[in-house]
Amino acid sequence: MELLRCEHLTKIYGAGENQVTALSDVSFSVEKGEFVSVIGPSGSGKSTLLHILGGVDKPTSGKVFIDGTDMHALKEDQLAVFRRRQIGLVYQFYNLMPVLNVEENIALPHLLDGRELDRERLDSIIEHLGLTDRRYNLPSQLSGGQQQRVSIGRALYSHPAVLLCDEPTGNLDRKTGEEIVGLLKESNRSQKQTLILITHDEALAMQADRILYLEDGKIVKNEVLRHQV
Amino acid sequence: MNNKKIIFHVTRQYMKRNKGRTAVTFTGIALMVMLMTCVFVGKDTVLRYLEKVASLHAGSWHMTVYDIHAEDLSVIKEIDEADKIGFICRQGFTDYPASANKDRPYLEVKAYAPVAFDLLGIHVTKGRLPENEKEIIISETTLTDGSSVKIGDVMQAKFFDRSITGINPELSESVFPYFGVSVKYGETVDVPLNFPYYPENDDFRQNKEYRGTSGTYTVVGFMEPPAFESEGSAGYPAITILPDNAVLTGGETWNAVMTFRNTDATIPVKGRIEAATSCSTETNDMVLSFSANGSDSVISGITVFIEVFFVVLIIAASLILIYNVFQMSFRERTKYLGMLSSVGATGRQKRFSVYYEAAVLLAAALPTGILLGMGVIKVGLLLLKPHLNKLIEIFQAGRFDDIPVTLSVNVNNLLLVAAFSIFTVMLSALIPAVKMGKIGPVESIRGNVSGRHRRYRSQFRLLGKRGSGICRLLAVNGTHRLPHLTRGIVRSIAVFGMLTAVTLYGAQSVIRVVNTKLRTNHYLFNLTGYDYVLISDAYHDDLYQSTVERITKDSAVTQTKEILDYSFGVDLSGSLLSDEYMQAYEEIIRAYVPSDEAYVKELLDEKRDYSNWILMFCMEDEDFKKLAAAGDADTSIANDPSRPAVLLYRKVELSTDNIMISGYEADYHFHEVQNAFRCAVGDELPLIVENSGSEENKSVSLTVAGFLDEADLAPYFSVHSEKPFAVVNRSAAALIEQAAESDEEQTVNNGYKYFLFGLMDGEGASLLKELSRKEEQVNGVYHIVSYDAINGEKGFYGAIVSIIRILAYCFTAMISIVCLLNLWHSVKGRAGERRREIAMLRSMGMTSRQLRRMLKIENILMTGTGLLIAAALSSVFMLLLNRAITGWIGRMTLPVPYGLIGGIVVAACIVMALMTLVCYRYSGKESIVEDIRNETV
Repeated sequence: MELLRCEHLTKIYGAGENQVTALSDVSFSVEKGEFVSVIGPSGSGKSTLLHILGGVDKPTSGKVFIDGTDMHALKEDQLAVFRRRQIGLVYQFYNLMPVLNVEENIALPHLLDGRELDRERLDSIIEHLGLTDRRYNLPSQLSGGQQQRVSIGRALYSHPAVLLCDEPTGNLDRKTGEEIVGLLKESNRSQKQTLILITHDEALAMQADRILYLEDGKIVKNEVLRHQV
Repeated sequence: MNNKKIIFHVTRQYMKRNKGRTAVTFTGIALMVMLMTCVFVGKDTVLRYLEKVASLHAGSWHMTVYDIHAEDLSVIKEIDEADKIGFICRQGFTDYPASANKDRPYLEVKAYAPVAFDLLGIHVTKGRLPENEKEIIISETTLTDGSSVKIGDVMQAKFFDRSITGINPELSESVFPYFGVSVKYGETVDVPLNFPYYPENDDFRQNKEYRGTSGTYTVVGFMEPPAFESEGSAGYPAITILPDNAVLTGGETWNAVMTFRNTDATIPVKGRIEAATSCSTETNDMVLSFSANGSDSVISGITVFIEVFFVVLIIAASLILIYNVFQMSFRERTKYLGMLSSVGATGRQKRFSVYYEAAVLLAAALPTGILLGMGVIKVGLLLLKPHLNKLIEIFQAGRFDDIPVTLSVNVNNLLLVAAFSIFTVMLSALIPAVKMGKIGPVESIRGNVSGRHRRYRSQFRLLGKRGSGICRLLAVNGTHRLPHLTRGIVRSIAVFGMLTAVTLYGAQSVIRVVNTKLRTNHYLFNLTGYDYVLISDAYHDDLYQSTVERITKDSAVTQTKEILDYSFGVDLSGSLLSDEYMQAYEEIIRAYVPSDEAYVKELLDEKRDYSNWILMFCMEDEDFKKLAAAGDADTSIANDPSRPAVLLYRKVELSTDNIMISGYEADYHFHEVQNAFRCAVGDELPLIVENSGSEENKSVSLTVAGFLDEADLAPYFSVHSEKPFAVVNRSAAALIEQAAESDEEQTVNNGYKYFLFGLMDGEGASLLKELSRKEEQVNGVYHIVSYDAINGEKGFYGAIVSIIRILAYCFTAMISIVCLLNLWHSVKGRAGERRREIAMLRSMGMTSRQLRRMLKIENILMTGTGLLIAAALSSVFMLLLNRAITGWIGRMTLPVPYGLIGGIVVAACIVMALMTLVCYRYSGKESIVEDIRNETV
């Protein structure tokens, strides 16, 4: 069942001589529960693609459908609501709220949606992420790996339709990176969480069901590694 | 490039990179310098100007020495501190046949050294000043009195002194209280220079005691009436030249007027002269007050107080602003200084980076601020000029010679500005510099400088039942867990609120002190709506009644009101004065006789046992009812016109200016009594009414209808007196008049009647002319006084108070600019540092509405905290100020400007909301991705 579809996505920055085409006529779709990696060299447009899929950036042209909704046809505030309900974002630099502790950061998108705190789920996620003894700490008091775990917890807490990860291990050591990828894979397998991972690390990308190769803003290869069960 | 240079170079690069922050710091320092300049240069400019204005009144001299004998002359001539000394020799009275005023048949001739003309402000209105001892100028009053004397006339003078001899064997003593003269039968006494000329009478004879000196003078000019001219005096002032070679002979005395190079010398020199000679001295307090050297310590004290008060406030505001700027940029600084530290920069070098930035900005801001300050003074003086002109008019009694305002700049003041500015800037940079120097390289680069590892409990309880609780949670955490960003804003609001409130309170207090000092012992009618007052004594009731009738019938008259004054004939028993009054009275007399217990007791007993003068006015019944309704009164008593009722004004103001003890001196002391009476509403108030027809005074009893406060009385009277004040109705007035009636006199002793009337614009000229003619015919039995004449006094106070008020408001406005700049920088800095955070929230799905709500709650929290701190600090400072002023002046109510403080609270909320709106306008308009990527500096 198709969950995400993008059609002819193009993103151009600047104008005239300074014009840069970050994405050029990109189209692909992702099935529900699929784990897709997007790989490509630096400047290939990976992050731009992720930001457009995440609704934090707008394409110059083209459309993105998530669960049948044309994201970029939504108004600003409608898009914000859509984001917090349907999309989980994990950034390379975690992007946690410095003034919220671990618990509060994880529950943030859920609470922004005006929903009641699900204490049981929160405790379970924190325990699953191994952050029980750090739950009252601020991000500045955590290590990089711990911060990224919080970031993943935040993305998963509100059951998003799709989890978008932008170089989630790029800022971590190998061991911690592996732990993080393990967490993401587990969520994909155990909860059928649709996952799009952006990376330039081929070994990491190989763990996905499918790899999209991006070069100069275009998908140059769409390689299926394994089929979903 | 040595290691210090590289630190300075990096600092300069970061200053360039952070143009906004550098501009704010520069502007803050420039504003501080500007304010300092306004205080020091502005104060000098205004005071020098006011000195010039004040010198219109009695001249520019600082001190006059009287009765200099030949043996004292060398002491006077050797006063090193003196800038100019001019001697004056009194020649004496001479007959003046050209006089057209039968009450002024003499000339009173004085010889002035040339410099004395200038020091005493002698201005010639016709002709020229005398150039030798054969030429003379006369007061122009002689011309207005109708004399035909003219320039070129020659007159012979044969000088004499005046005395009087008692010639009535049936009169034990003739007393002239205003002149301090009394003469018994057969006795001859000298009279003062201002003693009037009396027509021939049966009680005393006026004598001329010829001095044996004479002269021939040519009239070369006429002068403005000099300050010492008394209209009731027997002689017109006339002045000739005292030649340089004049010799002070044995029996004669001279006077001397002088100025000092530095007015600080006035009081020491005065003491020295009085100790070394038998001369008496007088200081020109009006002029000296403006250099804080008058003999009146209160006026001088106010001048010093204002200066110190303003400087302290400027330093406080500037300290916080500059400190805030350095604190806000603390994280960025720690990063680059951490990098420098990692390559070997020492703590000292890091500290120097902060000092260097402060010094560079100060070097540029100092001249800018001084020039700006001078510009502001010029503009401020334009605002003050109408009030200054009013003072000139008052000092010149109706005439107006414009005095141009010029900046008074001297090096000492500029050095003071520079010294205070350097002190403030360096002190502001001190704490951030020290903190910066202590942080290690690793923690600097990581940006983890707090070093705290506390745990933060989740604030889910703030969520409430509705989803909007997340905004509350984010706002509370945002304000509490980012203290370095929040404190700057809270501090800015607290300082803004505190400084503006304290400035306004200080200004109100100074105005109150000035009012108290200048308006001692007086009451004024509030004449708003009326143009003239007919004032008549109580002995000529028929004439008064017919005049009132004439006025009332005139078609040009718009409204009238009658007020009767019984103050001179009605007394109040001392036993009816409250304990508070008696304590205040004791405090004042102890200022004179601190250790003489027996004398204090005697004075207190005297006050308690004998009757006391009460200022008592009768209002028309309608006005009486209005007063009663405004005050704390029993309307059943007040509204019954048949019942003799009295409304008592609670407050009296006792001071060493209105209670004097002969033979003793005291420093100024004031005590405001909140309730002067020992009685309650409904009580009978026994009064003692003087009866001119009998030895025995009579008693009347009035019912106390209620009590009045200052605000209740304000539409009718302004009262600042040590005497109790009361208003009675017509029924009470009739009772008093009946008690005062004697066979000979039909009215209360010495009572006055005031009939206030208003005229239609541009009309009533014929009525005024008629009243004026009649006034001349009846020889002063009644007077017509204009609103302007009565309010002349009010105009002087009004002008002084307006000047203080304008200065205070200008200062408040300028200090507010510094505080608001501070607030702007803090809000902008916080918004800048949170740009990424806001973008994160937006990416998490926060809507614009939620963002606005979060910012609104944050604003409420920060503004509320800031204002609460401001309230606490203001209360402390106001209390300290109150203690300082009341400790210095005495017990008085210093009004808290609640209305203005309310305005400050509203202004703080509005300003904060507007600044937030402007500083966070990026949130929602710009790309979330850009903001997330942006590593904010």
